[in-house]
Amino acid sequence: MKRFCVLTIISAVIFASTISDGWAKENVIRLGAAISLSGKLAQEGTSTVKGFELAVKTINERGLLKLGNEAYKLDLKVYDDEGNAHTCAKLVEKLIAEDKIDYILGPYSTTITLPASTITEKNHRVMIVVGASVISIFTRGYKYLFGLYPDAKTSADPTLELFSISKNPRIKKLAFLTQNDIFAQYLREGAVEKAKAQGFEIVSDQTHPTEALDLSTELRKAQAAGMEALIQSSHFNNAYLVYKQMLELGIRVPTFLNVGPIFPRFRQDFGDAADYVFTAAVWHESMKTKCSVFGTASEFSEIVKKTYGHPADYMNGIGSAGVLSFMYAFMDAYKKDGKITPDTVRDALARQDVQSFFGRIKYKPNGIRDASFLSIQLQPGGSFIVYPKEYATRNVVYSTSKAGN
Amino acid sequence: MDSILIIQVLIAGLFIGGIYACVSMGFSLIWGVSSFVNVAQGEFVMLSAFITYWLFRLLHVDPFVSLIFVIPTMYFLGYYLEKYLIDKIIAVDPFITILFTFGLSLLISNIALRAFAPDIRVIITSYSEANIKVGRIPIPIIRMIIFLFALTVSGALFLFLKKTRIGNAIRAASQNRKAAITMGIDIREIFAITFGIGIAITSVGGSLLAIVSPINPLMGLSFVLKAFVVSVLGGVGSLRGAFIGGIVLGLCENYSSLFLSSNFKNAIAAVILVLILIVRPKGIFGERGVE
Repeated sequence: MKRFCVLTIISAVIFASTISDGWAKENVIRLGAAISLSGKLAQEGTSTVKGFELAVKTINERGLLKLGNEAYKLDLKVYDDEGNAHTCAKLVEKLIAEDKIDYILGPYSTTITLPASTITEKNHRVMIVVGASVISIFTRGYKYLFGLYPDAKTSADPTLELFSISKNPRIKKLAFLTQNDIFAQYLREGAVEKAKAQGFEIVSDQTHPTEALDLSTELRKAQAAGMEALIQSSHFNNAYLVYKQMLELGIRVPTFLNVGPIFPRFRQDFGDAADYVFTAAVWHESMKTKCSVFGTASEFSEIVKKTYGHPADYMNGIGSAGVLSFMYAFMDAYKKDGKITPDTVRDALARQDVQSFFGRIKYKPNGIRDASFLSIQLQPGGSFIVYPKEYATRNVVYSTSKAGN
Repeated sequence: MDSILIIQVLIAGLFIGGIYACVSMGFSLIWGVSSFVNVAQGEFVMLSAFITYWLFRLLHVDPFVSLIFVIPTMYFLGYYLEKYLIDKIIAVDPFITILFTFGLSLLISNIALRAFAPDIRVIITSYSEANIKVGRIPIPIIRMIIFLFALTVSGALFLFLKKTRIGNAIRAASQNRKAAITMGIDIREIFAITFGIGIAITSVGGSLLAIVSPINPLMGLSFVLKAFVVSVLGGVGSLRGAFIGGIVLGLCENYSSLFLSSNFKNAIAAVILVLILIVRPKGIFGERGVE
């Protein structure tokens, strides 16, 4: 009898603890990301993760994610892929298999995203790519893959259009200087196509290794060929190298750096010498966009400034937009299908058409976002949209560094 | 081809060659004296670059002036590292020492990554954009100064080894270790001093590089490969060989960019290595011991 009572009490305690675990459990949807927090892509990766974290925090604090009448929270798990494709693929596998996460925010860079997205597709898990924009990512027929960048091939288009209509200076001869990797070469391909279509003469077209210490010979070669503007494609570190060495060598031409100038660090490090350089972005804090989560684009930038101590760059923006896109998809999937599964969320993303602080989020049938790039120029006072005209907040200025004026 | 362009590329080659020379002389000196291949040599390039950067950023110390602090600091870092750590394994199997310094390289770079974050850093001075014109040829003043610094430091090291007692002891130890010990030279102390000097001269390369090139915590590894090639090219332990080898590598990289393609820049080092090993394995100035 005594033994029976003890066993009953023990069973009741065990049963009660499992029940109370269930009652105490929060409604949580987990997001995962394997992205570069170290290595040569760390600047881009950490900027993007700041965007993720800010969006998750904002959505959770304000209780914005509601499925039916129930409030849900987002939980974010981030691993550092160290800028290595193999590491990223293994980490994405880990997120899916061990952490049981169904919704992945994409890594940074095309080289890394290609194998990582193969893992998610194989496992029928949804990925929103927030750091890669080469079209080959989206031409593999993958159903569970979406991307927030428009096709990177078009990133230099607005700036090239601007150069083509410039009367003072007249820009007819272009030089290309491109890092030797998939992403940069893809950008170059698109820019060369556009340049030829616009009637430019390409006087120099050079490719350099990813690990470059000195590009002065390449810059001198382009200068000797008579370039009137430079189109440079690479990741952050080489953009820095090229611009620094252009200043040092006294090479003064309108310069487009695909990545780099949009980061606040560029202005901090180069100071006034950063003025008048061109770059591309899919989003800018001066855009007239708005959403219920962050308000306008400039309000988002203010929130980033308060949280991280610097104005928002477009990687913060795209990181937050990725989380927002998932949030809207969860709510839409629940409304239509009554449940959240990778398949219902995937379908919700495919039909998504929402306005956000980041602009319109709508995906084409192949999964890539239906949007275009802006031409941004750094001028005294900050960075400004200078083309297309309908978004421009300042006129373009053709000048060079303070020493060159 | 425009002769001005050819001369400008010569200047570019001399500049980067001077930096390779500083890095390689330190590497070659350590290798030649203690038969120790320091795979972590590149991390000292990175550390000195960051010291120069932070002195500039926080205390507004001119990068060239920062060498007054960098050289002795890196000397003592190298000296004590050898005395209390590397000395324990220096007589062990060479493979073990390479493995050890490889691990040391990873440790230093990851500590730097934590301490400095993965951000790219640049130094922009008031004279970064200054140029002088020699005839029709614009020459960036900063690069000229860097090359002259590299030349001066190399010359000073050469004189030190030739004209001082410690220098003579280092040369003796590299030529015949047993005889040096017999003559009363404290070989372990000499190794520590050599290591310190090797790190110090390598750090000159790092500080000079930071003035014209962006730096990051993971930049060290590529320098080890260049230093290795230059040391083999010039002859292990030959400082004259390391200096000339560095200049040759810098010129080859830049002229290959000019006449072929920039993509050959990194391949050139490998080609030089293979050719030297086939044609003259001892290196151009390869001799017994440091000279």
